[in-house]
Amino acid sequence: MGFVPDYHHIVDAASNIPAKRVPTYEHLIDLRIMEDVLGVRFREAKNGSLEDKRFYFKNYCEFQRRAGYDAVSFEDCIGDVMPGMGSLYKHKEPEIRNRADFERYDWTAAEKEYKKRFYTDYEILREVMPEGMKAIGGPGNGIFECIQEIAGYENLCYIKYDDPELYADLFRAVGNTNYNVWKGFIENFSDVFCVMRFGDDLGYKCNTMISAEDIRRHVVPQYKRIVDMVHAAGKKFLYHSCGAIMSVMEDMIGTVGIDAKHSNEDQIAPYRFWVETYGDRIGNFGGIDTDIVCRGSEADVRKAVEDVFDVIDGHGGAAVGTGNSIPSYITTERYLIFNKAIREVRGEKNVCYV
Amino acid sequence: MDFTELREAILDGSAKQVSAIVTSALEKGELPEKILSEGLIKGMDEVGELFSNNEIYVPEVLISVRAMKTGLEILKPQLALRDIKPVGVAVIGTVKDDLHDIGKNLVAMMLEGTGFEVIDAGVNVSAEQFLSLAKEHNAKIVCMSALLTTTMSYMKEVIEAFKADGYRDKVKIMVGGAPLSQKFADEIGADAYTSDAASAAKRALELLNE
Repeated sequence: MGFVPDYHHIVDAASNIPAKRVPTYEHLIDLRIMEDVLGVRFREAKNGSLEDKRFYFKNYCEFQRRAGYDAVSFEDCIGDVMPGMGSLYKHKEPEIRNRADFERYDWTAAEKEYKKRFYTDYEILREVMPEGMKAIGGPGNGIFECIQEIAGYENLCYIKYDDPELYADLFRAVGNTNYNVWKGFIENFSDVFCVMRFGDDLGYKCNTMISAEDIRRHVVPQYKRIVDMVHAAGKKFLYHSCGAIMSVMEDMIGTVGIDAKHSNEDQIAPYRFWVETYGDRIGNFGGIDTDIVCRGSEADVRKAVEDVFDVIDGHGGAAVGTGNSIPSYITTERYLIFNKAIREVRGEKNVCYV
Repeated sequence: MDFTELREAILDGSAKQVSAIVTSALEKGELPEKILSEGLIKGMDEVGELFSNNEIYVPEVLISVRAMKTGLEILKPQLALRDIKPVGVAVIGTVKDDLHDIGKNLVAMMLEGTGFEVIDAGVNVSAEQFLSLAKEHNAKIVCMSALLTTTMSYMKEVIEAFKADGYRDKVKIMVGGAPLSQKFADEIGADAYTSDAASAAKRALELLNE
């Protein structure tokens, strides 16, 4: 018999309660790895007919069950439906450079397009969810990433000085868009998700991408509106952000009210730091630096996993996985070594993928 | 002439003020190379220092660089007339298969602020491109950036390509990026690793003189 999931474990971790069985967690896993493990090619089916989508989500969920996850990690990103997006990752020229662009922009389009393009995904996810599992995630991208999609990072930095009012208005407008997307999502799909989350990378190696003061003034209030809604729906909120965001962590915990945090990079601060600094107040997801999974030996991976389990012992809620994600450049073989190590160290006997 | 006001304008990121001060200094007969070194470059040094100490953030650096560039554009014709060269040429790029460029752009800007002529090769840059650009522009510094844990391995291939071509001793190779460390830089045989853009520019200047 294969793995028997129980989403309550991940809810415990997000509630900062030590779970009876430490859940394993990834923000994203490359679809090729899922296909390799299942021996089924399904990635193209997401954008097909309803039957295709059903096929996609059945396999998507089945992979996560077989790989020992208690919840299905899934998101559809808000940034993808913002008109003129592409400045964050696709090197597109910013859609909004000045006040005139801002006034011209259709601020209601993303919300409508999100419903049109993604609601079916959540409906099918509900339909095919394996027994014992619920989803973790929701509308991906936070306010900062969404702004960068349409205004670009460097351009946003110039706007801050050239037109401070426009800078503030951008955060407000994108904050409203995200709020509305989340409102619709929560009203319709709360039952599908056991923990809600968005990822919004606010930091880089040494600091936050914009000042801590700006984050407090422009980002935190927008986050709070969404997290309050999540809490009102009776759900826990997991916050994902890469980078050195220590200067705003107290705001995230104290003001926004996040319940758990994911993402850690050894070059910035090892998992131990996050657990020992914030573990008395929030759950900590992640643990093993992606680089170890990518380049380390099998023994390195095993040791890193064991170290993480030592760190979380007696420190509240935790879900263990990479500090970031399983990207395309990690081989299936390496992923399986890593996944098996976590499952064995947490006490699973005869780990298998059926 | 005291260049405090110019340095402060750089720190404030005020392109308008920098432009006015540089123009006025030239009109008063100040040497362009002095305006450059005592005003613009020193101003950017201070910006770099503040940034390295986490006292200012990337947006502040960007507007300081923009202000500095405004001043530099005014000075360039005068510097050319007097045959004043940049402190050196640096080739910079994000390595093959990696499309991230924020960090790389920031280093490029800081290098310019330190007085380098920067040849920005962009993203997804191959070993051959790094090598050919370094040769073409007689660069003394080559800077490689990577954000991904896999693409950083390519840095070693670039260094090997320089070695194979017999050009390794003609350049100093610097590396940087989120997943990198000094240990990794040592392993692949890079000349320097720095953790932030301001330190990179400072280190590049030191390497020129080594």
